[in-house]
Amino acid sequence: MKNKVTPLVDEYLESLSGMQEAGTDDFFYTRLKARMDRQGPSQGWSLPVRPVWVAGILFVFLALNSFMLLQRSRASKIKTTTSSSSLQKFAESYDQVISSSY
Amino acid sequence: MNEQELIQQLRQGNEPAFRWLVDNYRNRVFHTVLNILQDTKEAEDAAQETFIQVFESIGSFKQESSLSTWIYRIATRKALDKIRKRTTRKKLHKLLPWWMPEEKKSSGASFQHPGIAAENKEKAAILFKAIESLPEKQKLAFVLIKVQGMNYAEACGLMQQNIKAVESLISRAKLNLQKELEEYYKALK
Repeated sequence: MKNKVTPLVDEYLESLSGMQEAGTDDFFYTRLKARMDRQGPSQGWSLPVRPVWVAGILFVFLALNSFMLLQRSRASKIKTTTSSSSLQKFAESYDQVISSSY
Repeated sequence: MNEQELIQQLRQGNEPAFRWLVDNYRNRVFHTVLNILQDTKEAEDAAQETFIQVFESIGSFKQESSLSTWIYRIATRKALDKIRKRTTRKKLHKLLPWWMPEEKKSSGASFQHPGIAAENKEKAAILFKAIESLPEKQKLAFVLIKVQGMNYAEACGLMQQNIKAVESLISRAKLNLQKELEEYYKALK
């Protein structure tokens, strides 16, 4: 009995009825053995993860590095501003003027 | 030779045992990967890779499933890997046509299954083309159960999914195929 929801699929599936098993020829083992001999024993070392994971981990590593660098440069800017303003205050308290070396 | 003896001999690297295994499984493995890949050359390659992996990994086979299920699992994984590589190659070809050579098999070419009777070849080719458009898991479930005629229990063991999940994949696959075939009919009119 045909399915009311997928009648076309059932109709087309009927074309596969009586399908014979598609096999390889008798020389399959010879070709396989030749390939195995060509390849030799497996190297043992291989990537334990898929390349997409390697790329993802690398991206996260680079992003973290960039973030840390950005934070550090911001922190050093604030530190420079703070230290120059406190130096200015110190100089002013002794009626001294600090001229910029630039 | 029973399965336990065969596994034991394969672990010892016994070549006649390996040959026996290849001769007994090559056609079923080839048939499975051919139904998934729809390309004879790629199917031969995937079948060879399957047996190479069986030979190399038999030592780590934990016997949680039968040997045949384990072999078919490797075979379907090899076939799906080839499909993923094919998709990546197609995408790269679109992005960098001068760098990535075009696929030999054009997307418009229809697959003629060698095991199908001549009078059914045309309809089967249309169905196979529609199957190619299915998402990976739906395609695998549909091919194993509906095309290959595998029973649900066997397919569940192979796909490492429970029966409800596989049934759901089959019904979604059928709905998607129905849409594909309806569109094919509309395009003909």
